[in-house]
Amino acid sequence: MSLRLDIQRILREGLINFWRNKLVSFSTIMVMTMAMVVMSSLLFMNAVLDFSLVQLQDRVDVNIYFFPDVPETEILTLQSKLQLVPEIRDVQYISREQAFLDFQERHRNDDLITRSLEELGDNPLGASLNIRAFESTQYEAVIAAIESEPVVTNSDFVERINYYDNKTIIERLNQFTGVVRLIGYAVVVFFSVVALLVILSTMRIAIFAAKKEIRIKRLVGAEHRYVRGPFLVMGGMYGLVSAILTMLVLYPMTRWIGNYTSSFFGGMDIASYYAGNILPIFIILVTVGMLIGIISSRIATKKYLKI
Amino acid sequence: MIKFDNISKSYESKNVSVHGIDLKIEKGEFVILIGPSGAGKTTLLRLLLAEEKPTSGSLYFDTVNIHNLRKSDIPKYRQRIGVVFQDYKLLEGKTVFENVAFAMEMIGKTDAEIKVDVPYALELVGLENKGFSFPHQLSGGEQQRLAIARAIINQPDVLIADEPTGSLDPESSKNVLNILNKINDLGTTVILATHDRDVVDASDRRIVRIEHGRITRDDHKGGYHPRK
Repeated sequence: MSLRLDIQRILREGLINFWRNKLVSFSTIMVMTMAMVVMSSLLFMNAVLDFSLVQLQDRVDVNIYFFPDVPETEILTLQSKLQLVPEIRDVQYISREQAFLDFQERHRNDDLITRSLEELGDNPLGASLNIRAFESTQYEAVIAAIESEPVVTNSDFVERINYYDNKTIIERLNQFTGVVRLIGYAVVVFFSVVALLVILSTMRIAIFAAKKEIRIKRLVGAEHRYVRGPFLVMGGMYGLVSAILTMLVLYPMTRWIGNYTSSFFGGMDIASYYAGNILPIFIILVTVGMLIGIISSRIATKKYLKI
Repeated sequence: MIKFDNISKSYESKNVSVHGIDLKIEKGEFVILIGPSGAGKTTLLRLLLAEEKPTSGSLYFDTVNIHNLRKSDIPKYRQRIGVVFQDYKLLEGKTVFENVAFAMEMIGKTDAEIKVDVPYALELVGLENKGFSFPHQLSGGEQQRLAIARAIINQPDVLIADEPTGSLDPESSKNVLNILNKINDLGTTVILATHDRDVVDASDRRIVRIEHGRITRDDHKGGYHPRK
């Protein structure tokens, strides 16, 4: 028999069975879809955690606060020197005036502070340098470079350096996200195994119903591939349809959750993350769904093919 | 063509079993297996279809011992045999047309051949207007005839019919017998298991009687009861 005719018939038979056994197909697809929605939600959660971590790490910086009477030229010289340090990504100079404007802006609604400033009549704030490294692990080197500058060690110039304040927070955050991520992966793996078992049992029930049919086909001389093939096609179809349904369910879900969580997760919008990665997500879901469907129907048919 | 060589089959769970069966069936023969229910007729047919293995003895089809066949060769072997099962064994999820077409698909016939042959076979058994019905929509007699259409569609070397007239009225039984005779005339070996006395008496063929799992009679020609 030609291979083309063979494949064509197996596909046709699988699709017809898929359509004629609507109830079985429907329930299997529902179970698969639910499992896939749970799994992809967990994967989304991991992506969000990753994003938040990067955001938080980005906020880590070293601030050198100068006394208000330090000449600007000293500070600008230090800025250009520090910019040459290889671990340093950028050095931002915040002038006294800018610091004052920022302060005013921050406390715009605070009457007491606004009035106190007016009372003071002068700018009490000093300039500062805002230094960021490329990686959060490079701050040891950065701080060493900063402290080797004579301007910095001069206690008449520098009011304070805030590196050490952030350090412990950052380390704790690193540990915390590490643990959260580990738990996240464990939950994903656990749910995947549960989903696989549920799908396998559903497929077994579906195929148990077709046990008589498998026997008859064998007795009238059908070869293995002809009996099993349509079931594999059906399993693949379950996976494909479930993946499409999962995609459809995820869209409103991410929109809804995104509205509530984008501010919480450091500005990440889950809905736009979903929209931006729609193709890879679809490919992963279809591949995983079809593989699970095909593998479980292969396992489930094995038992009945013995005669 | 078919040779049962000292075949025995016993079951732990059931009483039905056959003991030391020696039986030779030549190509083109029409053999009727008779005997009371539970005598072992169906067991012999199941052994012949390689649905079960004998406890001892050998079963040859042409020169091949079929119980030594590799698993992957069994479908090809079964394709040479057409079977009308006692319980029909129709594919419930397929239409009448598809049930017959399935047997043709198995041996790699093209869709064009299927379109020509299936209606012809359905006409032969009088189901030409039922092509789109499903088996559960047919009467017992119609299901029986559908099973026959499927069994003969590939012009098998051997046709096995297990109680094909069991649930039919005398008129339909006669029709079934006519179809079997016609197929036999075309050169197909026919093995018919029945306890329908009228069918046996009307056919005047080789009679093999089985009782308690043993052959008690093997007449070249005869009726339900041995002629005096």
